[in-house]
Amino acid sequence: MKNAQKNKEIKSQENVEIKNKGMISKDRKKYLKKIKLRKLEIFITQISIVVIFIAIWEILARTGKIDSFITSQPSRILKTFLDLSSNDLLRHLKITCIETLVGFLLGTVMGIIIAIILWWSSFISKVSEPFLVILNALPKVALGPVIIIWVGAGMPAIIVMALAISLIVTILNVLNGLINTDKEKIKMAETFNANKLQILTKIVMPANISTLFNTLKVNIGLSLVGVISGEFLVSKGGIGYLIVYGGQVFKLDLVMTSVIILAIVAAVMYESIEILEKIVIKQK
Amino acid sequence: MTEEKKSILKANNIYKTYQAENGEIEALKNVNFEIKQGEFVSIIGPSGCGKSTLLSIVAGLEEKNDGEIYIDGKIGYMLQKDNLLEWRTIYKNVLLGLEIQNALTEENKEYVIKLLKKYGLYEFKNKYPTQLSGGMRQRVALIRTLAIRPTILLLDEAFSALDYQTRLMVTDDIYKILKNEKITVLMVTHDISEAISMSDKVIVLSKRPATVKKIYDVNFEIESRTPLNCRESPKFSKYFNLMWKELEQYEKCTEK
Ligand SMILES: Nc1ncnc2c1ncn2[C@@H]1O[C@H](COP(=O)(O)OP(=O)(O)OP(=O)(O)O)[C@@H](O)[C@H]1O
Ligand SMILES: [Mg+2]
Repeated sequence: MKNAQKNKEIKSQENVEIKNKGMISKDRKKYLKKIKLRKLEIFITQISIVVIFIAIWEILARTGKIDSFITSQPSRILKTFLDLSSNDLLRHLKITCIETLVGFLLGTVMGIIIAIILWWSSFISKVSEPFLVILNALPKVALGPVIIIWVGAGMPAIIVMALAISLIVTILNVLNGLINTDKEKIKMAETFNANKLQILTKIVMPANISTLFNTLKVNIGLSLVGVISGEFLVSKGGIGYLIVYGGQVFKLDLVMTSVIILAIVAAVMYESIEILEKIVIKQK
Repeated sequence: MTEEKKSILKANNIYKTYQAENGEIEALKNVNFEIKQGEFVSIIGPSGCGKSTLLSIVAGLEEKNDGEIYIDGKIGYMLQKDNLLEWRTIYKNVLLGLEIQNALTEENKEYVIKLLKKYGLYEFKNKYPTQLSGGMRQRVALIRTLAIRPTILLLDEAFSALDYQTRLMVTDDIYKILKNEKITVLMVTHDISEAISMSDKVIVLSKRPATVKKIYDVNFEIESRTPLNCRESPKFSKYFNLMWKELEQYEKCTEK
């Protein structure tokens, strides 16, 4: 009798704890406000740094302290940017984006599939280990000329380049995550007689959602690196081509504008993955 | 009452040796025991002697080198950690076993809901594991195991991750649940008093390689016995001293 009562007490204590989470105390409000203020401070400082940097650059260029022929200058970059059509900027941007996305998707899908195969078979995994390590250490840009000879100087070569750079890293990152899944959780699934496919889909993959998204974030950057270096070599189109071309004919405005567009593209792609991650995690 | 109950789990001459690159580890040597329907049996023994190995072999997760296991019924196995999946709600966690065994029928879902309601977890069914206390999580893990309707339950130090106070409560809780559902239990623990307070029979294993040293019958002659009320019985300390001395003997040998 006494025990049952004690029991109930403990259960209701647990309830209170959980309900409390919904209420906000004064101290909590204060704390939240402080955090908000801090975030605003950081944001304002970041914006100021950019604004001041641009202002100094512009002033130095206008007063002739630096040679705008070599360094370009913000107002001219803006002009080039607004004059998108005359330089065919949009067309080149589209080429780069398509190449990056295709390279990224191929690298991610192939990388994840290969990682799963290696997780499944420890024999294949052990056999391929030294090859993966060497391929990972090899600077893939060195393969550029070979790739061009093999697949021809065009979009396919650039996509292969992006793939070469992102694939091995994807395999290694994802495999590392899969292998390090909590062994106890896998054993728990085995107590219900789970087969390997069920362990993969119900335990190992969901446990590695954040590993997967981190890999995606790294990958999008790497694909862009692959695409730009591919465009440097192939020199037919894309932002990478524009940069090389602009450098050769000393159109520094075009080079700088291209670099800034590249930064924006990278930021947008990274941000899309973050948003996708939030959506996926919320749905769970 | 006096009628002999049938045995539903038998281990005959079980041997187990692990092979590893740096040598062999002999874990079990000629282990024999028998469990009758409805019994609550505990296994105690020096740490690292092979208790978990024995349970894994009974559950069929680990190969044995020799011997036979007879099982008449369905095995449920609960590990030390609750291993709740933090990306699933409590309800989805509880359904995991049924999902794996392709048994997600309406009838089974209703049974799970009934269990959740009966054991005070229904209102938390859409919460996530991190929002629950350790004791509640352990109860969720138990319901996940009960959902597949086992008739024999294996518990491997299922309560040792809890703090003392919670542990007393949870063992009391879970004991009642198991008696309620008429489940036969084989429990590994390193806590002698936990073993005495819950069991009808305590199996004492020797140090590694483990073999059965003694089997104690525990009987408090208390009506509606619970783990908490039998701790107050004078017989409790008698049993405790008996088993403690038995175990101490092996621990001494191990230290040498
Ligand atoms: N997969 C394995 N490979 C090799 N040796 C193992 C393996 N699993 C367990 N062992 C060894 O077998 C022996 C018994 O292990 P087991 O986990 O069964 O002991 P235990 O009694 O449950 O220990 P504890 O009290 O720590 O829970 C230990 O010496 C352990 O190191
Ligand atoms: Mg153990």
